[in-house]
Amino acid sequence: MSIRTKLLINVLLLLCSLMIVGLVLNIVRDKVMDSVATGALADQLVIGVSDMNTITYDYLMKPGKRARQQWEMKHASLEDLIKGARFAGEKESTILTRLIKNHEETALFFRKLVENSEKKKHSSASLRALLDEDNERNVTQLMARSQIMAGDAYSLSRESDASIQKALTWSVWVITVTLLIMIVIAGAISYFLSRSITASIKTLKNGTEIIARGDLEYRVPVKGRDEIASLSESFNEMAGRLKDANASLRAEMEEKEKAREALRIAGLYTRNLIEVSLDSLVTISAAGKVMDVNKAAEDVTGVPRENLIGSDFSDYFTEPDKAREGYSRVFSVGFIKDYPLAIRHTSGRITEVLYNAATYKNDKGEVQGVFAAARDVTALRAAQKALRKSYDELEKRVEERTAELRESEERLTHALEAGELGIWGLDTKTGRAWRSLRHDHIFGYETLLPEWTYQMFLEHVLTSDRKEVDEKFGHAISMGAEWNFECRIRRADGAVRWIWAQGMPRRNERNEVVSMVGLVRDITTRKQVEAEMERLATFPRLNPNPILETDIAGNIQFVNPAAERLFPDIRERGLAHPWLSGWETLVRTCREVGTECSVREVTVQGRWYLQSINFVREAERIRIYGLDITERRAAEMELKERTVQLEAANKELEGFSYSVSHDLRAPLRAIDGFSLRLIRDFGDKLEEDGVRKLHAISRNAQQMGQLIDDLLSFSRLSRKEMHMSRVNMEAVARDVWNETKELNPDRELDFKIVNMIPAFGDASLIRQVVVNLLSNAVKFTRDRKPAVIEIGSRNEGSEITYYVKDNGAGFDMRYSDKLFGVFERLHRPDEFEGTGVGLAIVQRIIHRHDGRVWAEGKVDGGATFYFTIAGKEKKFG
Amino acid sequence: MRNMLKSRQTKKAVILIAICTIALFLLCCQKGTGAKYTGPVEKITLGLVVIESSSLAYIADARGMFKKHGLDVTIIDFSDGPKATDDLLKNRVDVTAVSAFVFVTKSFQRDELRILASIFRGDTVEISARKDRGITEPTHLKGRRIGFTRNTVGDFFLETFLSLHGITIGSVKLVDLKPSEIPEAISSGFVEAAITWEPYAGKIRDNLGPNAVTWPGQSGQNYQLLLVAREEFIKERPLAAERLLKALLEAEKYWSEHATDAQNLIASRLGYDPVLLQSVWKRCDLRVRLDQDLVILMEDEAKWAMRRRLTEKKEMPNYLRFIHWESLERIKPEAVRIIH
Repeated sequence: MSIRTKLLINVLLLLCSLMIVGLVLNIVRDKVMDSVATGALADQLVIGVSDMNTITYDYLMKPGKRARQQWEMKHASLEDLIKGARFAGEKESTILTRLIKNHEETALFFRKLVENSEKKKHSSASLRALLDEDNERNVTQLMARSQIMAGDAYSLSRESDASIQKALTWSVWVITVTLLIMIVIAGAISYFLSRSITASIKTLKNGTEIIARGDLEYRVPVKGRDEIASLSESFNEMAGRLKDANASLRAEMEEKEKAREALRIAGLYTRNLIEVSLDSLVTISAAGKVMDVNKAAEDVTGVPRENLIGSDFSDYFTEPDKAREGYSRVFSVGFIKDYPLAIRHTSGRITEVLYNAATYKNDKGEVQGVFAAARDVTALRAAQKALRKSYDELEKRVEERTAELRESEERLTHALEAGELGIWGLDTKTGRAWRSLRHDHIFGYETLLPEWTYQMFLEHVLTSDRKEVDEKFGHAISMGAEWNFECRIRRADGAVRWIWAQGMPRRNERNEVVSMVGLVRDITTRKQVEAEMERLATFPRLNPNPILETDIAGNIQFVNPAAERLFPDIRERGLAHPWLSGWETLVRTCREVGTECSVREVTVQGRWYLQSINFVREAERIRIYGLDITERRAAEMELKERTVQLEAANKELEGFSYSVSHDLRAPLRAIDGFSLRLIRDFGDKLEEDGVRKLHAISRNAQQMGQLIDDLLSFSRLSRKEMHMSRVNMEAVARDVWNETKELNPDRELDFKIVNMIPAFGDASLIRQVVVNLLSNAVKFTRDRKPAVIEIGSRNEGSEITYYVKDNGAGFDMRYSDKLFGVFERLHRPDEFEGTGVGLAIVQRIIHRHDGRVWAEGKVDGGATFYFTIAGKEKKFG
Repeated sequence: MRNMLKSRQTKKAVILIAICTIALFLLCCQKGTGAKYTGPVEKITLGLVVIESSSLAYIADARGMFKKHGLDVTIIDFSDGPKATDDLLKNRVDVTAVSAFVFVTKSFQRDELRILASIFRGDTVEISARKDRGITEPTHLKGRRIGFTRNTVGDFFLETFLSLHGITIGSVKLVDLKPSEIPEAISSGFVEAAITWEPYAGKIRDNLGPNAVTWPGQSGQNYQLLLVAREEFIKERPLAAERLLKALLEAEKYWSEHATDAQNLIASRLGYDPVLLQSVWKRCDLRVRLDQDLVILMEDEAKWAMRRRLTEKKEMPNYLRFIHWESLERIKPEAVRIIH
């Protein structure tokens, strides 16, 4: 049987064992689950009976419809549970039967109780006594059965628990025994399997060791039909073949020894031939190492043969790289002929040689190395070198002169390009000219024209300038003088440009002018700058304010006409003039401190001037711009005086307010108090109309007092110092609302806060805004049930808009502009009380926060008040 | 060659079986996880009194549990329970959460209200007294000035507490105060003892310090917040009611598994200090359930209301018919402990 089959049988046996374990576990699980289900049923019975007892007691304590209904429901559900229950044991079945009987009987006694209770309502006293007696018996019977049922349910539960315990113990035993059997079977199979495999392997191992020691006659004993037996057979066959191979190898070795002797004799002959050669001979391996040399090679290098062999062949040449290159060429082409190299002798002597080399190959045609012969050519080379030296010197002198000329030409070209200069030469006889490319660019041509004449040049010159240019040319030719001019030309693309040109006449041997050579340049930009500078120069001259410039030494460099007019003696007095007072300090500030611009005020002849002093660092000039501010200073003085007067008036007003609050309110309180005292003391003596009028006096006095208080609060708002911080608007709204709600306990108020974004402002002032708007909303929703008030906000970029919305009396939008005015009211006092200051305070606070406030509303359609406040820190006025 | 082929086929079969087994395992795991509801969405208007007992509903809202169970819930905040119940009866909201006490007072007037579940149980009502006035035992309360809020659950619990300690309500001087006024009244000595609840009870403890003596004020009975709907709503939209309960049960699970996060969420929603709320959470139980003691509590409160003549009715209503336990029982049977 093969090992594979044995292993498969082993796996199958283990799988069978596992299946048996699984089967056993499944049986155990079913048994335990059955016991658990029975236990759960018993628990349900215990709970059901307990509930039944509870509701029975409840009914006995408080007889009523609810308890009776619950009793009936519970009785029915418990009946379903008991009748549906199944228990396997005989004992449990007996208990269940008793439970069913007692359950049915409890229903009889309970219903009798209920029946008697109903009867009692319509019975006489004697009958009620009889019914009570009957009920006592019914209660006793009912309670007795309930107790028995409780005991039985508990017994069932205990029996179920014991059953679960038993099932669990049984299952533990079954699992333990099954596992033990499994372990024994698996152990036995593994033992027998490993023994049968390892014995065969051991026999094979011993045979291998005997053959390895040299006993090729030995054969491994073969037992059985498994994979190891087949391996042993193959091994024995291999040992037989090894024995045959050993015999044929010995015969071959003897043949090779004979061939080696013949080869040695042939080699000796070849060696002698090499040694007698006058040329140095050398064989080089494919790796570039010297393999063999003759006596001539030892002589030319001065190195003994044994040192030469094995060294790098290129080391003995004056140019090792060139030697290696020649060597590579032999490999690529197969040979080289007359390859020039120089060999360095250990004494320093150089021997120039010509190399001839070829590759040598083995029987298979593979290249093994290079065979090279070197011929001494020292004398020949010395003659060639002398000839070469004289030729090279000549060549060098020619090259130097050519380079000097080229450099000179390049410098000229650079100079002309840097100066944007075009050059030209004119043959005065033919009128034809040669030019540089820059010349033609200046006249608006991209490339060099094939031809250029004096006439073509004149056609480019503007008509207005042409005559003067031509005359100057004629004069230069006739006098042999320089031709120098500036004129305007029209370029090939139509653009008008300014050019400057200069030409020098050239004479022949007869002193006749035959040609002219010159330069030309586009000077349009320079001309434009000159015109711009001329235009800019008019600015200070036409400026009506004085402008003056000095150099760093204090010398006046420029005075504009306005300064000349205002200070006619300024040039004469120089730094002593009052307009330049403190000039030294100015210069020091500008130069040492580095200030480039400063401002100051000076007085000259009773007039005030504002001076702006600029330091022009590049030119080292001080430039002073003046402005007459005499009238402005007078206006400022006047404003300062008025401010002082206003502050005084304001203080006076504050004093007045204080006087109003204390002096006016005292008599008002007296009027109010005395009116009420009159009503109290003499009300019964006065007629009804008199009492009504006294009430009116009191009410009006109170209202006036309120008006004064509100007015004072309003006026104080402007002076209150603001402490800016982040304000939690939701907390403020909730807090204010709680207060408002407590002040209006009888009102039905529905309040909503929707997304209150925090604001940045004075917390106490913003709270005042919320107080005023919410109390306003509560006041004007007096007739609404419920009053719905909503406060919320939305973010609109840099600011946040808050709103307070109500479903109250609203207002007519035509009068919305009056809402925020002091003492402005849109409703009659008898409709809604108030002084008309609350919204004015709101507006004043919001304006102090740089915000806006407005309202929207409809008569009897509610109102919405909006205000904006910055969401983050910003500067408040 | 044939053996090699066989061996490859065996390997392929083993790999295939392994892949199938892993896929089956992953499928089973997938089946176990809660899938998001993708059917039609039901719209519900839910009225809540802005107090900590409404926490489960606020958690379900904030954590998207309503949406997960196919509900589009609009929460309307109310300042008190009676107003929320009035709006429920006027059909302005579909479901509301009110205390058992408020429910009992309304049950005398209308009989179409149905309780879906109790979603909060609390024992936060406390009786506080001043030691410097010689009060160290409950029996010392006899003849004292006691602050309370008339016709509230505090009124009911005070009478029960006094009765259990052998004191009749007539033998103490009752002072009717708003809940927010009580801490100041006892601190200033205007009253010598008071019954109130958190966070006012905590304020009293802070104000009086070691001079305070306190007793649990509910005498073992829980304050319960009930989820209430009209009978018509439950009949017409039974699925909506069940989804609402499922969302609240998920909120209950979140509360028990992520208590700190849930408490911070509620503190932030109500704008309360989380530290102040700590004393409340210790004495409350946020679970969706229906227990038999709810019936007992409501009957007790109803009896008290009749004794106090807060209603003209003299017959005890049958509170069993006000409780709709079928929906909760379908979703979580063990949460229903009403005997039936």
